[in-house]
Amino acid sequence: MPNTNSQAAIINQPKPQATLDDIYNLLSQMQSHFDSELTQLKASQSELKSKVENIQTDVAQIQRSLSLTCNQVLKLCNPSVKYYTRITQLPIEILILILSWLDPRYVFKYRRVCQSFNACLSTRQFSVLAVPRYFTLLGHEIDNCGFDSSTSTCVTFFGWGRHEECFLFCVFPKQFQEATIEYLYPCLKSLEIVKAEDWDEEDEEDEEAHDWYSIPAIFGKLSQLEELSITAPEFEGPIPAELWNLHKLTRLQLSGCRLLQEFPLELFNLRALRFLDLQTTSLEGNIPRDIGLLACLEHLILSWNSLSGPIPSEIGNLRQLVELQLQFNTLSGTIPESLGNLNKLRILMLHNNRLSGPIPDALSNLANECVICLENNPFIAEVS
Amino acid sequence: MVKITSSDNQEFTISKEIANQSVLIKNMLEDVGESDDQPIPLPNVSGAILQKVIEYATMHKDDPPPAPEDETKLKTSEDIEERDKEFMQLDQGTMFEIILAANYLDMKNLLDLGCKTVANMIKGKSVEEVRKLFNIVNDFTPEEEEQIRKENEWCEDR
Repeated sequence: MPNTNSQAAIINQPKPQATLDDIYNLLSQMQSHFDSELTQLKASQSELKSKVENIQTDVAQIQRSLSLTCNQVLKLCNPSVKYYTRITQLPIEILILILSWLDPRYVFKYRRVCQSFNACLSTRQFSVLAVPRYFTLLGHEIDNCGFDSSTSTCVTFFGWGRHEECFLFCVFPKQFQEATIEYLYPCLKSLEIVKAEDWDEEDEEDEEAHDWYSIPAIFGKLSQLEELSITAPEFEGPIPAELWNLHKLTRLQLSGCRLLQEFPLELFNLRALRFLDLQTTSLEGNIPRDIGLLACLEHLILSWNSLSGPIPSEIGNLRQLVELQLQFNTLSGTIPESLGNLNKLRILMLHNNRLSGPIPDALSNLANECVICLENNPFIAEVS
Repeated sequence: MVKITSSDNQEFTISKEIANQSVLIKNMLEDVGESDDQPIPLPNVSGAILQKVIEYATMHKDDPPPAPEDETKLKTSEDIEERDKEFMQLDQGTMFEIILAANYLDMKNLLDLGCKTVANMIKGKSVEEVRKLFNIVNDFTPEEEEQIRKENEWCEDR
């Protein structure tokens, strides 16, 4: 080693001859030795450092491939254990969990994959899981049409075709619609669908110019509903039977819907009705005698339809009646005497029908406080 | 430390913070009390799968406690951490086993991770592609399938 040599050199120097210069020279020689040593050490240190780093990355790589191999070996390790290697062998609850993460707008196409997929997508449990995720997903896209209405009791839609609900209630499976109703409107009391603000009146004339929608049957699940008002002109009949479950309804307004049906008899189960407006709905046939069962009725508006036959005398049983509009139909026969009993009546519109015979004297009891229109009926000529 | 044994009698010793990620084990520990040294038997999970589950739990042992449920936060199947994605790069059989284990052990995060991963595999695929991917036999009669196809007209092409 050069170190020991130079130390030996110091010791071997005869003492008397050593001058300060010699010592200085020796010391500077030693210093340059140490300096070069240090540089060498530094170089080897950085070399080692990079080697360590290389090894570390190697180790990480080995670890990764080890864990991959581990996964592959897993099955081989335990040949006796039964593996659920197929998705269809999973319990249905798990399959439901998996599918509930998919967008409901697309997921239902997977009903066709196999029986167990179909069964899973048809469960209520699936819909209950998927509905909240769906509306969180849509949340930012639609914020002006009542999606935050889960706590409110009233909802109004302007137009129908453009709303996500419209699409949903037209095509989604029933369980999904039900879960939607329960999630969005757990305690809805009033539902209104009115004409869109920018509705084109010319479209209304031209039946081909816009889409027609059925009244969603799922509305029958709004069990707390007291008021249902659909006046947007995009709807057509018939009225779904499910609506007759809404026993709390006090107001039913479907004016403007193209119902094209006879007076639905089930309607008379809605005994709480106070307001019934079916004007301009292309209603056909007779006014059934059961109308007299709706004892709470205050407003009965059936004008501008194709109703024919007589006015049933049972209307006289509706003692709460304030407004009776039957104008612009093809009603025939005489005006029943019993109308004179309706002492709360303020509006009586019977004009533009085919009513004939004598006008009952009893109507004169009402004349003081009630607006009565009878013109354009066969009998009117003799009276006026 | 907590001892657990798998269905095939492999014993694992894990720390309490790892064990507590399973609500099932957590409840068992609370019932049994600290002092008991008996291993907890997990007859529904094999050793190989348990090993993977422990690997996951170890990876997540330092996670902050979950924030209180934020309703407005978008939770989609795409919400997966990178390390979890890597963890889930498994063959289908192992993946389904892990999902079942997570369900049994009541580990919500792992269960969600597994389900999201499978959902992402399905996403965007046609019915036929899904059948092929999971080796599923179409067990409908042609009439049944046609019926569903008809009911599904609105979403078949989506």
